Amino acid sequence: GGKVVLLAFTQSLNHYISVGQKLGINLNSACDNKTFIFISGSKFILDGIIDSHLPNPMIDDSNCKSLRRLYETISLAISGDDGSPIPTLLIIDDVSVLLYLDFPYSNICTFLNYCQHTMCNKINGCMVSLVHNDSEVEDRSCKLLSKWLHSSSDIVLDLEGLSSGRSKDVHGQLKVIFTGRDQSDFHSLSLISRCVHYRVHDKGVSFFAMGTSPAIL
Amino acid sequence: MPKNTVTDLIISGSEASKIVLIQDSLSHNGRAFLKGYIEKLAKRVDAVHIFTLDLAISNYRQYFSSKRYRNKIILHDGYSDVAGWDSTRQQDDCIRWRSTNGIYEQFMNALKSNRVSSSDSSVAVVIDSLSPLLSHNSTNHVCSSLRKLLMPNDNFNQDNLNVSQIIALLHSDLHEDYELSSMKYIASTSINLHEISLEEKLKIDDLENAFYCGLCETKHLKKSGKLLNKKEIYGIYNDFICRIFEYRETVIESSSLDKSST
Repeated sequence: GGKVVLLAFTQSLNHYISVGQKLGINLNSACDNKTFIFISGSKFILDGIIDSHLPNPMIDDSNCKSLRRLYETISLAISGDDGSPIPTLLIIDDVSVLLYLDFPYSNICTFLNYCQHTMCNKINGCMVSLVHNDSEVEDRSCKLLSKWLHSSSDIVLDLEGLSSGRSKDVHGQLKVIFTGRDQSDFHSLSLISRCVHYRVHDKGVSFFAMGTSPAIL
Repeated sequence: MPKNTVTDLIISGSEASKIVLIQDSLSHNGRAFLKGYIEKLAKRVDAVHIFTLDLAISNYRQYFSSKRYRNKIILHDGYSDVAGWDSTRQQDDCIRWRSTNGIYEQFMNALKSNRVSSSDSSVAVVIDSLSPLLSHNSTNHVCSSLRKLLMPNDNFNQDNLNVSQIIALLHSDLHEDYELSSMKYIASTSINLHEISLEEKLKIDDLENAFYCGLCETKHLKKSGKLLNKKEIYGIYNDFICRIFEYRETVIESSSLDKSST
């Protein structure tokens, strides 16, 4: 009885439909049933920039850059047909693009806060967002944004390449961090993290304990 | 009887401190320490105003609802509508992360309109956390607002409202070094929280029963002008009771084999 809202900045709907097909998910019918809603972030941003007759949705009334209209579009997508919210998964792919579009770090944090509050506190939902944090790139805003998201998340999936270099059989390392950020239960105050290796297949991903790749065993 | 540690003197109120800054990091969450602080704070002030900017106010309501001192706790929302985007809200009482009114006016309006009783003369302000305000405003503005909150104000003196202490949690990973330095400069006490190694933890028998523990580096500026700088260990126990222990650093001495080779 729930739905998925995908806010995408870098890929088109067709890309996700073809990925869905490989995973055995029919996104076309999900779109028709309105259990999957696609919001093209790139189109949203370009509207108003290309056509000067339309108001720019990324500029607010005081002529400052704002993500308010984008949040309102997401909020509308989350609501049910009768206006009542239903359990929803919001996926944002990917947040770093907003930095590349020169949105201030603080504006992005405000936008993410609203999305998070709506998904996690107003409705029985969940939010998943992708952000890039390249250690080789000296971009302070990117690092701060990544840390902001880390600090405001309950679970962090930290993906990185193998420290030993590229491998045909193991594509990378995934660290799962349970932040326990609210520290509400004194029985579970500590941060918990687990590391696994993974390999990406054509139709999925397989995970295994570090050092136990089938190629090694 | 264990010696009084500097951190414990601050938390218990034996040592006065106007602005207490608690810094944590992504690898070591300071919220449990803050809750332990509030446990002791509530015993010595008339009211504790907690501004919740990191988590929804419902998290705190649930936590404090079972406490004996719950009547002294006043919660202020700083999370659900931080930019005024929610047109469905009936009440405009959420603290804005960035507002033309400024931090001081927002906070003072919240303090004035949510008083426990007309006779409360000593209130403490807890900010969980200061990071959103520092990310959305200039460092100058945040520093001056916090200082102003503690100053006697003619309007508020008539109402007998006295902010005796401000305790703010700050996530050090989310800010630039100059921002952290500025905040530490205006704070009379700065408590930096870190993880401790298992080896350090095993040295203190009482930590065996702690649910959570860490290292606290406390810098405190006394009224006399003397600066205290101490590393201590804290442990969180049942009901978020916080206990502080002395920290004895492990000194690694070179062995006689190393000496003979030189």
